[in-house]
Amino acid sequence: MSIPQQFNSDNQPPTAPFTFQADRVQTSDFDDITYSNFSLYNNVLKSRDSESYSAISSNGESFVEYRDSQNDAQLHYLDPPFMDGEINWSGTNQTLSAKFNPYSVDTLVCHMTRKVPTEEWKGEILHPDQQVYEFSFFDRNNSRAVFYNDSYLKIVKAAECDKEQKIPRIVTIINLCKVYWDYARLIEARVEKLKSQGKETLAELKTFQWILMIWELCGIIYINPKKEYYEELSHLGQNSYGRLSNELKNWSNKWLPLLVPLEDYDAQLEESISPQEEKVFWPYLRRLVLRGSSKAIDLLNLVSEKDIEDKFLKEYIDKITQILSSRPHFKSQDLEKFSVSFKTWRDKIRACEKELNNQQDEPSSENIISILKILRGDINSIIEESNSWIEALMSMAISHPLWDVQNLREKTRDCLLHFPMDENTKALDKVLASLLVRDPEQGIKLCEKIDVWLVAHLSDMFNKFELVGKIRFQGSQMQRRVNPYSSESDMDIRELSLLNFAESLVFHHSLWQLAFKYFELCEAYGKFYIAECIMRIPFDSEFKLSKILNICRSNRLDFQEKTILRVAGKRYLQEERYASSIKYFMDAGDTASLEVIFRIFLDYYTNTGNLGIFKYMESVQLDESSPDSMKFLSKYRLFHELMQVGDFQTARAYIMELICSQIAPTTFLPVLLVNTLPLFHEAKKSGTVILTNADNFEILRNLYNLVHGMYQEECASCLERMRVWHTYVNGYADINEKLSILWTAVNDNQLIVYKYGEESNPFWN
Amino acid sequence: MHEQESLYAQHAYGKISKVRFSTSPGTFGDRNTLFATGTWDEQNNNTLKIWSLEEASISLENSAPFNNKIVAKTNHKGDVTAMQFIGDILFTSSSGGDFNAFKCIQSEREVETDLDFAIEPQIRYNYTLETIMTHQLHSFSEGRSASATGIAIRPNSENDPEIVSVGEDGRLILFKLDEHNQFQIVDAADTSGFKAVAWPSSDQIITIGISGQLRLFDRRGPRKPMVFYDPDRPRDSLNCLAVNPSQVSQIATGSSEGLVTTWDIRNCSGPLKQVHPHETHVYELIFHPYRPAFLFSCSEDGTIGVINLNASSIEGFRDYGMARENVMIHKYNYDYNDLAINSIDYHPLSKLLIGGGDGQNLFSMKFD
Repeated sequence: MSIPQQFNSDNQPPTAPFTFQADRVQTSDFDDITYSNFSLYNNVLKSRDSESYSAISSNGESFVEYRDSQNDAQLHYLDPPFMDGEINWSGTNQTLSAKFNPYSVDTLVCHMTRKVPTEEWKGEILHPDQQVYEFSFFDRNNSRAVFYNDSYLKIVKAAECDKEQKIPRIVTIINLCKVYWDYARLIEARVEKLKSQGKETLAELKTFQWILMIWELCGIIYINPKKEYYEELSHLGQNSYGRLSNELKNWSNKWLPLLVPLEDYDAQLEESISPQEEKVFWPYLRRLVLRGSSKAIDLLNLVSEKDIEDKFLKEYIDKITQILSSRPHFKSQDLEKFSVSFKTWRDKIRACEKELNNQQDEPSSENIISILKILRGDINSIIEESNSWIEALMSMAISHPLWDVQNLREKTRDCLLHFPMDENTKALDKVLASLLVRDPEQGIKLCEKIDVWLVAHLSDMFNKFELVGKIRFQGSQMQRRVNPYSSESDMDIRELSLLNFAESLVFHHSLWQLAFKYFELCEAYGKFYIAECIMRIPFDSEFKLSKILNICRSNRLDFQEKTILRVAGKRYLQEERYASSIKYFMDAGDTASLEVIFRIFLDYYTNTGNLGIFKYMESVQLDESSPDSMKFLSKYRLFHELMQVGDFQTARAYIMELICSQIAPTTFLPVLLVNTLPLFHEAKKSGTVILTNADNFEILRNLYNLVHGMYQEECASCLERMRVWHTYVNGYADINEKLSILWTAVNDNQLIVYKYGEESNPFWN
Repeated sequence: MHEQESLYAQHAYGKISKVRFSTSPGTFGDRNTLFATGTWDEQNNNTLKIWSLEEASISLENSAPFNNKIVAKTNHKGDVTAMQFIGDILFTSSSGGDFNAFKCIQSEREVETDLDFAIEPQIRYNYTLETIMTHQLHSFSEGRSASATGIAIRPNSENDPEIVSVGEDGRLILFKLDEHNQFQIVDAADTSGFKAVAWPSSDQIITIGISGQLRLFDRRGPRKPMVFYDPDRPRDSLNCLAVNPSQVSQIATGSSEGLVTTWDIRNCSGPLKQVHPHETHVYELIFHPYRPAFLFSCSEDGTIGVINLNASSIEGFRDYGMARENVMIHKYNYDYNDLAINSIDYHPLSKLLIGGGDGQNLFSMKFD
């Protein structure tokens, strides 16, 4: 037996087999599944009596308790995937098997399988093979719900800002810019919240940190310059030189680690008697200068405060401190003034560097020169000192405050030549590189590896700032689905991203409404998506049904609305909730299904003589446009009610209208005719005219057709069914095939009409 | 579109189906004003939360006017479909057909949170919600539950509460809280199923059916209920109803077409007044307890409406509202929210209107 022993020893033998046969799926198919979304089930213990089972991971760290709130039948036992003794487990040749969890609409159950030749099987326990992962397509904790709802309000706000045609474009841009940075605050709030939530959310925290990093960078290099451009165009402001450099400095200090590996040198240097002689002093100072950090001045001050014997060093430390402190700031200066002051500052560095070059023999001159080189923006020195392309680029931007985004783009390419990307490059670096070389479409596309929310919202904002347009899709499935005959394959990148994001929410048990709101934001294909998805939303209460129908109505999806109404009607029909069923079928305009209910009602009465089923008609609201079949049922119910209260004249009007209308099938006609019998008897008993000559004639005409005419078979069949109850319910003599009782009654009635004279009937004439 | 003013919003952690203020300020042994929220459509994670109303003492610019805090939380089986307070007891009905009663008990010391780490902020609970009663009242057939849709309490029966529960199964069930095993069941009281119920006076119960009919049940005799509806719109289904607290014969209904209609149940031949404050479904109506000419409404369109049914005597309304037939409508919204607001309630002492809906937000607004 080659199954790892743990399964046999620790677990009770499963009483139910592995009910969902796993199809083989390559691991590569699951690239998009992040580990954080997995719940790990290992050593799944079955507990037949309780409705829960627990799992302990192989390293014993996390304890996962799985509770199935439904019932015992829904428990599933996760056996090893292979029970065959010929198969063993291997450290190589792994395959991820996965299957939809048959008891949950939104989870996938995965487990690793692998094979090894029997002779290599040494009997050791291989933990990974025992692990069973449950993967949910959705965040089951709903932890993102708050964030998604908040960000939805922002996207609507952006859409409203963009829609406003009457105001100047600059106002729109300023408003959109506010929305953009509102998003950043939302993401930041989420990051802060995740930070306070411990280990479980580390993966989510990392994702959101990346999202914020990208969002802020895009704000700096795309959104703010765009706003600046419009402000300049509208003479509302001018290009604030150095803004880009300053913002990138803040961004890089926020997101890029200063030291790799991270070490705290501050304390070490502070405690030292002569910090400048510490091994870490110069590299640390270089890094601080590289990142434009004000801490560099603090560090130099720390050294100058100490009693330095080396006069050369003291002189130059003071000089560097002075250079760093006098770095020109850009805020309120115009370009000319700023350029002059910056040039003067840089000349000062060059002069200092020249002096040092003549004093090469001094031990610290080399270190000071390297710092001066970084300060004046020497690209080679910066690249040499940097740990990554992005750090090098940011340092260059810091030391070149006059750069604009175009310069940044060129230098990004240079940096990437020195730090080439390879297969191991992180997705984040690829995204940042694409964005910095001003290829936003590619950047957005690469963001797919990070998060679908980011792709959707970034592309929406970029679209509103006119930074991205349409992209060409080769053999786009969506294009074919939406319009198979269209030769156009260009698609709005914004819309595509929003649709993808919304599609990820559409079957979420709680956020599905948000998905449809996002679809509504997509002008070209949104409606198509709503039409396709709305009919698949499950509903279990009238409240949810009304929400679903409202989405159809507000998007004018008549066909879908009617289909859902029909589904609801059919479901309630199966449950014998006739009143609701009739309501929904009437709303759907489904006369065929109403006809089915109509027949059910008539058959029920024909077979049993029980009027109970007609009580459902009490709750059915009819209007002029309602189908005849329903009007018939309603009037037929009223006829019986009137008979019960003794209002025979009105009852006569109703029954004669029902007979004449020919709405009822011929199989029900004998019932209607027999229903007139009590009226004949009442007329005879009270000596008043209830049924007129015209009524007599109509009844006789129908009687003839039934008894001697073309409907003899239907009549016979109906009378057969009525015989079971007719005499018992009505108290009259049994009815025969020729309906003689009715012939006699009509004849008697003719005499009554002759005797008492025909009265006009307001209901009939 | 009417001119709209903004509501204040805070996260409610779940799609809100019902909000209700506790009935009296000193109910729980302290001076806190409490209210409850219930969620829907959260699969097995529906919750019932008790909040403590907390207003900022000094209103500073850019500071939140309210900072309501969750003080108790419990899981709720099924969607919360209706909610009522009597003293410190909270009654709820669920989509699973259950009627539940919870007792709100103040803890001596704060209870550490054991919340889902990812959803809510760290909370220290001051109260606990203890289940004192759960009964499945509504089902279509054995084993197939029907959603309970409304509960109402007999007026002036606080000491010995008598409760009516209605559901989609068309049953109307009357029972007393103390005798909770004795149910008076009216089967097929409305064969289409019920959507809402109100108990305006001791002998009269009024219901709304899924078909859109209003039914007035009179307990004084075995007579059939009186059925009435809007003859101009027989097919427009009604969603909610409210009873005028100072004139119990006057009721208001909200329809799926966004209409708010007032009726006199002594003469049900037709509506008294009809206004159209919303684009679509009106989900809840509340009469102002002291100024019954004011009616609050909330809707699928994401807005809260304040309707003045007697606009000739209006005060405090600005002139950009919509005035028609002596009716003034004023609408409130939060930011660009267009997700439904499913429930509202008004607290006359703190003059606060609260609401909650599908956007998982709790809305607050001061209204004098």
